Amino acid sequence: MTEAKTVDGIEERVLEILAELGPERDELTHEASLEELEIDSLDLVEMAQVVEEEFEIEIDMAEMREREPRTIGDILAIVRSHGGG
Amino acid sequence: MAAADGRHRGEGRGERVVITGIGMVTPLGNDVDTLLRRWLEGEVAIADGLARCEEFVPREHVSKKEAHRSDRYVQLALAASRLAWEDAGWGDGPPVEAAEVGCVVGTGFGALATMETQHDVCRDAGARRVSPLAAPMIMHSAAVGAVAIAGGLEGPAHGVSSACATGADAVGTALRAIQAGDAEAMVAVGADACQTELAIVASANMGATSPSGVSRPFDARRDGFVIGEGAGALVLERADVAERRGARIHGELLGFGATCDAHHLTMPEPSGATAARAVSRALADAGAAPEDVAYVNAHGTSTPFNDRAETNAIKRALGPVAAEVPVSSTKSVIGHLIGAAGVVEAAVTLAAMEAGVAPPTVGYEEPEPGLDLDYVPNRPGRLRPTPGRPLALSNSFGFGGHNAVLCLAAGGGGR
Repeated sequence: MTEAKTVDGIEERVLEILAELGPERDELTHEASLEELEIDSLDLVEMAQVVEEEFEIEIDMAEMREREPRTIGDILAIVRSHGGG
Repeated sequence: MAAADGRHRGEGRGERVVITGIGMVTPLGNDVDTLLRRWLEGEVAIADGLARCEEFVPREHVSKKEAHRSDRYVQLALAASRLAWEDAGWGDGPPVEAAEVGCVVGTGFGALATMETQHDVCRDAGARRVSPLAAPMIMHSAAVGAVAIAGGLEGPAHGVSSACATGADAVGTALRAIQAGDAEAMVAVGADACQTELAIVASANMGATSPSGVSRPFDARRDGFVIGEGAGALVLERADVAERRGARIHGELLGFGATCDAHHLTMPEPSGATAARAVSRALADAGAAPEDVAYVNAHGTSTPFNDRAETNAIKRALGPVAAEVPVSSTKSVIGHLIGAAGVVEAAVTLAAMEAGVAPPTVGYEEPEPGLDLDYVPNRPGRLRPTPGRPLALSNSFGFGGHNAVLCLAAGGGGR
């Protein structure tokens, strides 16, 4: 169960970080479109830097770009696939 | 009135250009009327050797995302710009086609604070932690892009940087863009926020800033300038465009003159000859003569060298009129706003002309031999009577010998 908790923890933290960069926290649903939230690649790099630091994981930014995330859910999936949980 | 004799037309340049919007963030308030009122009351915004914009709350002017993505000087530039186009009655966007509106946004120091912070991150936390925003925040055109995006300005947009003459050069460059037919309206902005530890000690070590922490331009005891921060923005419009939309016209930008001493890295050329040429060029550009000058808003930094060279320049350029015209320095109350100084000072000059008053050089007490103009000590004075429409000059001189002078008149004039 601790593992599941970690996943929840990192997901919530990712959303918190993204909310600090512009959008309101309650706009950040899994289905929400990055384009509509005006979240761009610079925001994703910033988010990744904080997550890497706090959770001691490494996020491959080149791969993040290749996967062309379009929604908040896509971002969370990429973070999870890099060991965030 | 300019139209009556055609002398104040910007001879040979064609288009008349008017000022329809004024915005600013300064250590003495965030609009020009407040700044002028507090200046006339003799209020000084300097504390502990610095003049800060204590009343500036960034999030009242910029979004969360803009705040996160911009250095403080860009936030100041955005705030002043928004206040200026709001003042101009622009509503949701420019009143003419977006491609016909551009901006010139100047800064002297740029994003020093961001540069220092990101350098620390790179050294202490490693390359992988340097912000992806560092480059677009540090590049010298950061404020230009930010202002153009905020205003939806699709015309020519670029930066100028000429040390302490930056603001006046921004206004002059914007004037030329309209006169050259590149735009129907321009937003001219100057901004600086360089009260970082590095800038403060660097300026002190070169002997430029005041060890006593007092700005007293033209006084015998002056010992350097006081670092301020802030931003100023002017909306300039081609007169026919402004008149067609029924815009309120604050005043007319009649002339611009710029020269360079080509003399020394920091010191002005002591005779004031090249600075005087900038003054004369601004007057000629306005189709005016020294006898038309009612007030001179001096660069007046409170450094020993500037105030002496500037006095010489005013005497050279204005001849006998120099002995009669009130000359005062806004820096006596708000310190030196660096890249913002020229824009804020041009704006408050216009407001003073509108009010018919020469604002004082606050703190001036002890005369120095040779510095013998009417510096309007401590209490507001009268404008010099002129035969026709009263004109004002706003001087800006910078390290590197940059001289930029604006010639302005209150009201619509030509109508």
